[in-house]
Amino acid sequence: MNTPWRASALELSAAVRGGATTAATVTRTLLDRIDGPGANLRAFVATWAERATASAEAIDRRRDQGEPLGPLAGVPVACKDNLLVAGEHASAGSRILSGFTAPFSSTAMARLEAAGVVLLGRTNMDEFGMGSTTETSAHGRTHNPFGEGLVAGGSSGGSAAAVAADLCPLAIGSDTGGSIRQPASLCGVTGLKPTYGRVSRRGLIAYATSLDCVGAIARHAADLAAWLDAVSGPDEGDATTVPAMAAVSPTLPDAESLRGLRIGVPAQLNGPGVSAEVLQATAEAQGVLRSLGAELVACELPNARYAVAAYYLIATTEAASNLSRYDGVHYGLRLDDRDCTRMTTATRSAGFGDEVQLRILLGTFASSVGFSDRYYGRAQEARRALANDFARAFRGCDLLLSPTSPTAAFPFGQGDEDPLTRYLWDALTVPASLAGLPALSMPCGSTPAGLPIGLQLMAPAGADGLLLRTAHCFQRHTDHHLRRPLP
Amino acid sequence: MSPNPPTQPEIDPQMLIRLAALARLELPTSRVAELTSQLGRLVAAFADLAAADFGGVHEIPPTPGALATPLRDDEPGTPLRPEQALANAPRQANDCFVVPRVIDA
Repeated sequence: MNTPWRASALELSAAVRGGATTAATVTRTLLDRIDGPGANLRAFVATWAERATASAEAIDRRRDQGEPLGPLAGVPVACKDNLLVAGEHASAGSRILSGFTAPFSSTAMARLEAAGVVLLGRTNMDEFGMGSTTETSAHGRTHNPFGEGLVAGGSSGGSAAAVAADLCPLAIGSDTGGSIRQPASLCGVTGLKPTYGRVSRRGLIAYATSLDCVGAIARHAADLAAWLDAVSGPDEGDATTVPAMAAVSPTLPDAESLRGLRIGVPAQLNGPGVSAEVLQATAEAQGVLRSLGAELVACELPNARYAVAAYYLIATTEAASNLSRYDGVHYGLRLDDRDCTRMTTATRSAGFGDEVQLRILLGTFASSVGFSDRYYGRAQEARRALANDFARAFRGCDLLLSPTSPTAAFPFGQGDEDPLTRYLWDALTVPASLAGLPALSMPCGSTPAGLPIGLQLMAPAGADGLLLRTAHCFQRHTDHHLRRPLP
Repeated sequence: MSPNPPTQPEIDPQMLIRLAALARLELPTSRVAELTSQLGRLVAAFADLAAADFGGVHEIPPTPGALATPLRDDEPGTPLRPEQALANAPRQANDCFVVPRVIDA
């Protein structure tokens, strides 16, 4: 295998299991690539070379001893900086968690390691998941591999950039309002946010508890199916995992047709605020889906107009509560401990970046006496109304479709002056987040300048498998997901 | 639309400072005007939502498949060992997290 960095996760594992290569060789090659062609991207915050090498050698020994190995054995994987891996640092992109070492592994990463993956290191992210560009990280900005000085999207920008640059075939992230899907779109790769409750959040550093989902990014939908099968399922450590959710097969059928599939195109997510080049690319993708036998029908999500407001009021309220644990007492940064109030205030003021502080202030406002009914309470009503809209839409179709992001990647610094501009970038992804639905972004075209454009598919709760099968069929008939910015 | 839309709250520097105190944040003087403006703009942008009428829909959407808050037996789980819990403590002593005095002498 001369170019292991160009192989899918499933192909790599098959090659390792079949003896065509070794996990140690693949791991060494990718670690060299991260430090070589990938060095300037700042996709990774840190690599775990010793751990990765030891894991890879262990997989090779198990193969040599004839042990049965699963479809992800030997696959090098990156992990977002907000997912705990026992014994390794995790900072959620924040100075306030400098030096924090995880005392246990998140359930998602523990299940993946049990499946035999090789953890390469942790990837960059917007601080605490708050951002759509991976510019707010305390570790610096991540570049889009398709253009230096362009954003990789966020908050899982490091994971998306790592896959796009072929530094690893599979990278784990999290999605609260679009943080898997949007960077996948901007970096030309495929990203999955599962149904809320399918994958345990235990060990995911919390941003917004009712919205956070562990997800993954790969080039190929088939790799995401294998990932989802490995990590899904109830967990006593996360009471919000749902016991009875339809299983997802780790392998996807090589369907030639989408005949019988009805895909809704909600008017509210397919026009307003979206750039002409993105609309053009998604229109062409709709044509491909029709040519594969899918029927596309118009539908409505009338309450989607409130989605950005509802999301930011709910997410920031939950974040203000979740981030109150960072007080200088239990972990992380600690400053000025002359008294408790001074210590907590000084620690948080120095430890949190500007965007985190703004969102905490917004959440504190939305949940405070005199305003909580009108803002947080009304946001929850809007959330239910939007969930009802989705339920009505899904009576007439199997999936919904929209662009993932209103634009392709753009230069660093855009939106610095005005948070509202930044928050409106999430308008197409937050609806599925609010309703707890599974959603996927896959490459569907590019701008005249060659920047990737993503198409979003959304499914009813539990129908993650249908999303993946549809994406897999689309990818068998297109090659957008195979565009590579680096040799 | 509600027949009596509530008046918009005014986000002024005094409110911002109060919110910051609640959140245990100290804002540099140089940022107060900027943050007041940013927070005010966001609240104004969310006014449509604050004034909207969703026909009395009050329930939070249920997690798919879960019809009620999940309960478990009142059995102790497996906590972190003290040394694990304290491993990241900025200050610790005698198996405790050390904090500044909270009661005035």
